[in-house]
Amino acid sequence: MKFDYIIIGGGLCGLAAGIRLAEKGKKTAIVSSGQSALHFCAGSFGLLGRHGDDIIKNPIEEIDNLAQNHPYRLMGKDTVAKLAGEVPATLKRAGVSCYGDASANHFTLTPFGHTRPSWLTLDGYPVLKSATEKPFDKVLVVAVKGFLESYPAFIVENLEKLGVECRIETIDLDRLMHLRLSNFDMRAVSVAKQMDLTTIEEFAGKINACARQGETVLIPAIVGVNGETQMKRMRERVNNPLFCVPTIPVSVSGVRTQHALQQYFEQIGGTYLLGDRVEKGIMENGKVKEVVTTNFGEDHLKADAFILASGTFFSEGVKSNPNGFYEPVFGLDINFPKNRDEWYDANFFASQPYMDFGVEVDREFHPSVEGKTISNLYVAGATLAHCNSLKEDSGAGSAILTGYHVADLAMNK
Amino acid sequence: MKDDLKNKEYDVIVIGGGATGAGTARDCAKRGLKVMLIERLDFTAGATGRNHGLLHSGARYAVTDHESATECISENMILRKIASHCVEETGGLFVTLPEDDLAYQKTFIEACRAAGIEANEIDPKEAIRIEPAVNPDIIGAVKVPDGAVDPFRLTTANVLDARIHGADVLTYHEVVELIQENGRVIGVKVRNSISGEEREIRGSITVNAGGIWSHGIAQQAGITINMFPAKGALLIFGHRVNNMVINRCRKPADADILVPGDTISLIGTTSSRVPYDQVDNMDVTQEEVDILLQQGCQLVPSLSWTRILRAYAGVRPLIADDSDPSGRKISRGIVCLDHAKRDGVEGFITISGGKLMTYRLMAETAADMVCKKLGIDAKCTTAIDPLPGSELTNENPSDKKKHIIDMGTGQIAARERHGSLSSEIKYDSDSDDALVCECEQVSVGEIKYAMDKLHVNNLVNLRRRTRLGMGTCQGGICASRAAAILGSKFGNERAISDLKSFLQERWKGVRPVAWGRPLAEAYFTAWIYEGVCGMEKGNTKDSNITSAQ
Repeated sequence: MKFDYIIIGGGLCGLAAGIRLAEKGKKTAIVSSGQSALHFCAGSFGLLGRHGDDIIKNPIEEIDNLAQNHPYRLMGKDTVAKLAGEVPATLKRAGVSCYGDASANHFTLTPFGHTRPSWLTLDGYPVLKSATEKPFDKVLVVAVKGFLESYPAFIVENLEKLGVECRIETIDLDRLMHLRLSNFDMRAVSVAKQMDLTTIEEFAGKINACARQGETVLIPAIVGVNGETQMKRMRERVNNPLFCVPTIPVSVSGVRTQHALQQYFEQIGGTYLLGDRVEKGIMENGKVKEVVTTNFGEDHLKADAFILASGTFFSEGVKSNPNGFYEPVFGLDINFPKNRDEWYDANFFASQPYMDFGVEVDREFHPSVEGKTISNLYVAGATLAHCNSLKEDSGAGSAILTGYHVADLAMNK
Repeated sequence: MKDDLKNKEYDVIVIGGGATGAGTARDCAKRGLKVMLIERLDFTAGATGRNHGLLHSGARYAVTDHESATECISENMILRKIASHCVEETGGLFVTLPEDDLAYQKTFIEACRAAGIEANEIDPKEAIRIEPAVNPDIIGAVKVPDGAVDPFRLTTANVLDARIHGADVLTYHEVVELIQENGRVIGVKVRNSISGEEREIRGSITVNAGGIWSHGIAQQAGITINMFPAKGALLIFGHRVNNMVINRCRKPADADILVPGDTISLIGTTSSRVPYDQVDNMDVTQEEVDILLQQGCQLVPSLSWTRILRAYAGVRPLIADDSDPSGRKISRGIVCLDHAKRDGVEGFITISGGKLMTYRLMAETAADMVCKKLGIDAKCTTAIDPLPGSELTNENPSDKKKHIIDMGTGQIAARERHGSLSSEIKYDSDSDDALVCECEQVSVGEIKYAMDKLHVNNLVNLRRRTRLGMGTCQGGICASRAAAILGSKFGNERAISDLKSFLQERWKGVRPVAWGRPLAEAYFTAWIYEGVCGMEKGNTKDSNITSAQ
């Protein structure tokens, strides 16, 4: 099979690149082995929330202060700004509504009720002006009986520190009775899948019965796994202002966004090969000629150019063994110290050196094998070195923006 | 501390919440003494919780140390009866590899038999059939009655039985002073490790069962016990690789025992002398990991591609032989020191040496000495009476009430863990059945039981009582759920800060083996707690400096 472009990895980065290419009419395939880091999504996307100990107000202006080899620096501040400006409209076309601006971070709430800087926050999740100012006067935190993935007491603990008056009410929903009988099923996505129209009515009714005037209501994010209408319905029916607080993964917002982007990519002509895995690349004259996948076997997939968006350690885009770190598909160059002790910091919450390890690329985002550049292969997203997206709150931003950028580079070649 | 403990006068104060201290408290309490058990941190926090969990048949010692071997086989048979819910009768193999001397096998079998250990040579092919994980190149195999013992459960059961017989128990209380009067220890001053509050507790006899820390405790009375801290490192694998204990049939050396325990397998140990001032910082080094892996793969080749969960190290409380004037010779077996005779300090004894396997015998020895000093004639019953949880399970009311098919997976796992005591776990509502830890099948109900009955103050305690967070995710998924439940009892601020300590503690063990899946899992955990939940980062200050505008 022959495509214009083949993207390895179907998470946020692969989908961003794929949508960019397919919207320009390119014949594009995405090979995805399954779940992606997008399933971690906590209702918002960060572009650059932190740098060192500092919370960043204007991510675009901060880019010049990043290390030389940081992916944003390789793209350049202007390119990042331009592409970032196009993202909300693309997401909207895919059916994902959000609020935000790349030159002015806002804040949102985490499952523990901490504030977190955000570039784009999905509809239905709280948008706060500041990390330290009181976001609401009074809050009703809704707990759902038997649901262990949200932390109402922790939310109260942290919001009270900001001066918010809080209380908790526990709500039971008839429809969840049978879920509780199976001790595995009270997880965010399973619960969200039970939310039919009747349950939404019941949930809204029970909230109205206990919410007091002046209270903002925070519910666990268990609504709207299939689309945005359910949360709209909830907000129409509940008398008070209503927001979702994200749960621990797998998250409803993550599953919904993944699904929406995937569906949109296919609508505009993309081929999404779900449940397949690229096992290796076949090289010819310093270029990738074709890739071998598990499902297609002998029938190799060919393309003019390839984009590697296979994620990092958890997604196995970058793997490791006692001898070091490696990229499993092409064997791309990764730099790391030989001594294992230098890979880690003893403090779990410190900036771990290994988090920066990834595939090295040139200014064109081409990787190399043993120092030799591969001119029709591009690397994007978490697979790239020199970007600690966990510490920077930049995971979604770097996934989408480097995805867009390599798609543009590939098309302009 | 409870006010009613304030003015109580005890017959015996036991220092140390390891197996030996808990066993001594149990033994003394069962003999009718008024007992106070004091632990500076948590039960099993020392060497008790940091070893193989091997129910030694004694075969390992048969050639080099006849006395230890005899003690082991005798205690082995006792523990099978009194601690059935802590013991798994796996059987063990001593295998000879092509590079080993097969002649040693004969010496080994003879020594085992001399110590009363049933040791039968079997055909290597038969050994591979009954234990398919073993290296297929073995040239000799001997079957022995090794097994696995869960030191956490064993210690908890001893504490519970001590309490049933009237003992008072304090965890997170450190003995900061041995109170002396006229050359006699008459009690201890303890400091609450959480609040810092200090109290005095009076007792006729004080038993020092502090493991490696016995050295420091005795020093408070001006007594020197010459200890040789010997560090032993081990690796835990992510699933149960072998069904039988696999030993190397040679003189005891590094990494020559692979023990299956519960859902996992353990390889160990290394052995290295460490300075006493380092016994609280036992980090496993790269070199130790490499030795364990290399040697382990010789016993069981599949270890080379089996996921490693974590590494940990304990310190053996080896003690100098008082009979050796140079002080360099290490005592074999159990050492029970009467400091009245040895150092002229009355009312104070130290029980040390020995091993997890012989904890009960150590406790009996110490309790005998206590009774003798108190002039009490009471018989030891700990070798006969089952521990709580190990009573005959057909009497278990929870079994009668429910057919296994009606029980949640958490309930079934809890029955495995707590034996007959699992009937005390309440599943009052359908929420109590909800699983908090999926890896180890720990339910809300079991956590509530542990909080109420098993001295749980934090997530690490909870892990030791229930196995929560011991599985493949190393607490990545379940720690927050469990923290929320602890928060309902201890307050949310404390629960969140405890959650941080727990994640840090898990990382300590993962870091030495963080490559492949363990690294991916650690990264995943970091994403959940820092990335998604905003922990740690939540405290970062808001800054204007970096904003260009």
